[in-house]
Amino acid sequence: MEESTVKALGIDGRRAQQDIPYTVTLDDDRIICRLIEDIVGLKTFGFSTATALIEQVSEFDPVGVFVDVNLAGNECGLDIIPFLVRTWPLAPVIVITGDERESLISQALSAGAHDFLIKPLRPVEVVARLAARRQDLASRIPTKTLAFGDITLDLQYKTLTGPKGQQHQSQREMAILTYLLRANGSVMDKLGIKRHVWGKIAVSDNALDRKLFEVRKSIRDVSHVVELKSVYGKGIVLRLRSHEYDQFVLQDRQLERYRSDEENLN
Amino acid sequence: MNDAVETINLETVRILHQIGVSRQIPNYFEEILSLFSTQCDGLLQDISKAIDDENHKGLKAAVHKLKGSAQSLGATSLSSHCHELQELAELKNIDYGLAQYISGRIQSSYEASLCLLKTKGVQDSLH
Repeated sequence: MEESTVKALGIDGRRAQQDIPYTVTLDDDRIICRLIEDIVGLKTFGFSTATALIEQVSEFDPVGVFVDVNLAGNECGLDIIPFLVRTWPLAPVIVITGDERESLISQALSAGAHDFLIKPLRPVEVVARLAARRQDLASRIPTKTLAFGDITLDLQYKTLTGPKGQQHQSQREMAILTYLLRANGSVMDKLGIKRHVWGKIAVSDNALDRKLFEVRKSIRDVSHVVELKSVYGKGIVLRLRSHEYDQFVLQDRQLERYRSDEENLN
Repeated sequence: MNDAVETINLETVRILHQIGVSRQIPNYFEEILSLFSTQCDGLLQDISKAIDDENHKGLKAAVHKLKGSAQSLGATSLSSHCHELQELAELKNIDYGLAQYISGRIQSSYEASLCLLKTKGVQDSLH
């Protein structure tokens, strides 16, 4: 994103870091951190030790946490799970392991992990498990409104409000918006959206596309910064127009983190 | 290609290619391969040093991490040799001579995996 556009939208680096959804990955394997980021489609901040993560935990508020069992410095990832669950109650903690032993999986779940993944990572499974666990946690919190960027969806009065105005939403549009707002920046596949909106009723892609057109128009009519984006081969995502710029800002922050992590290990 | 089937899991390689395609990142697989190679070179040195120093904890940690990286890239035989060394490292009294032998097999397996992952044959089989 051009710097002038960023200024026009009033988004500075600090605000972007607070608003952009991202994940945290506790794994000393940088390949896993990279894969998680590219599979989920959100920036991930990688930590190689639990100690490093605990030191900086107050600076982060992720939408999901991926934890490896065996970490650098002979630390065990399972030990930090209760702390992570308490600190980030809305972020599902997903354990990653290459070890299929049932005892390890049950230990992870007993420690408070919300789910687990076994290596090698399968993209569809990673995305589905993260989305499902995020929805589980979000649904436990009673709320009358959902917000993302500069838009707010009122679940009681069925209105979408932003700085440019307010739009009333039909039942189906409400269902699509609720689903995408709860996904908080994750790409959701079209099949999942159809299932959420129409349940068991079979609907064509055309029907969904017509509804998405309406939702996209509503968002454009009320918001300066939020857009509904199609991601080829993956699905639909609600994201900030500053997405590319935000990724750039977060990438810089990640590099700083790696440097401090390496200094601490040395 | 038979060797490739035994040494690497083509399905995992295919998935990695697909991630690159869906994220529209050119040379994605090559990037991941380069990350893998850098990481493994360091871990192989760590394993060798841990065996020389008879450092039980260091050996376990390095071999576990190498196994995880191998699994992520679909390097099946490398992962399986790491598993052998990992099981040995779990024992109370480690036979470091045997550990040295398995470590040699890990090294060969790593070189073979890397070579196959870089070959055109594997790349072509994905299309």
